[in-house]
Amino acid sequence: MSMRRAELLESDPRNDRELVLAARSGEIRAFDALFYRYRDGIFHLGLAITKDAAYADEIVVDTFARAYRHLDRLEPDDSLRPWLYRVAVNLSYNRRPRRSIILTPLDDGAYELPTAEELSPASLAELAERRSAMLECVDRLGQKHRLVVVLHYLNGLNLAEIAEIVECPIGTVKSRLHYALLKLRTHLSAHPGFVVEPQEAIGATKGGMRA
Amino acid sequence: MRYRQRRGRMSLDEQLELEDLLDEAFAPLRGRVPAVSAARVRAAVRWTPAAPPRPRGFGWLLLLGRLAETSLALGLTAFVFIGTFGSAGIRESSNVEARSPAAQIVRPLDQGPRGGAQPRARRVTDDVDAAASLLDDFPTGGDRNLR
Repeated sequence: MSMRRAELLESDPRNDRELVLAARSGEIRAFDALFYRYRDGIFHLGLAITKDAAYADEIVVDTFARAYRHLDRLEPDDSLRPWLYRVAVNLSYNRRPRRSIILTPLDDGAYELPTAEELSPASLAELAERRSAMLECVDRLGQKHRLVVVLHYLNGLNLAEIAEIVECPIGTVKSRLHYALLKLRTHLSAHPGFVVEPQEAIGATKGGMRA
Repeated sequence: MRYRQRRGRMSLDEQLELEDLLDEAFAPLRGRVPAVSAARVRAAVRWTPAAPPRPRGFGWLLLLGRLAETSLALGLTAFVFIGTFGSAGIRESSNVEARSPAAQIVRPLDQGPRGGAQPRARRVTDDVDAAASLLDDFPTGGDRNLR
């Protein structure tokens, strides 16, 4: 299928409920529209958890295969997104390699070069290092905290949707997000890639965390 | 890169800067595109278009058909059950009678089982008439009297 067709399907004006009902009655185009609407988000989620693009591709396929099999039982009131993401999260954690054998692909996203802006080689190197350090810190978070960080900051889901995905109250999600940021701050301050300024020097630098 | 070490609560500025860092770190991940299309999902689930819906108003016909199927199945089950156990009883009685074929053949009508021990039939051999051998065992007073 060409990219053009995928874009057309992705921009289908019908909402999720209408698409699910149409797919249930056998309309292949409706199911394809749902697929292209949520494919990228599920892929990014799978990639962030498993760190393997091939696994992430499989997670996309398995998630939508499961959605197809449960098409008769799906009752999306507003959005199908939380249901799909919950399935994708479970599949991702089932496929996640053990901590000791985490695979780092050659095409690591932290080293991709920006195309829009012109940066000096030194700035590019610093940017890549900063990204890599940040991703390492995220990876050092516990599973619950890492999941809410990924869903909120990578996938852009709001707190209510995350609460539905992780099946806990919104207050718990808010709390997990707060503690995740606190831990990230601690990890960042201890990371060798970041130069730690002492507490007394706060008043001297007004530039914020990054200089 | 410099990062200020702080403890305790996080201010809004700190949170915003951390969020900027996260956004920056996730940007390359967000730019990546999966290599799968909807066709692969369809292949995985062997998509088949749904069958056309049945016209309404024929529900009673379907119910009647289902009832006929059920009654036929029950009838066949009962037939097979009765046939199996009934034939087993008949076979056993015929076997009992077949154990003494000679006695049945040679026993005269007027010397049936009217009490007393039944004579045991001799082994039938090729050169001995079974009827004759049995007659020797029976007290044939009539013949003697006639003599």
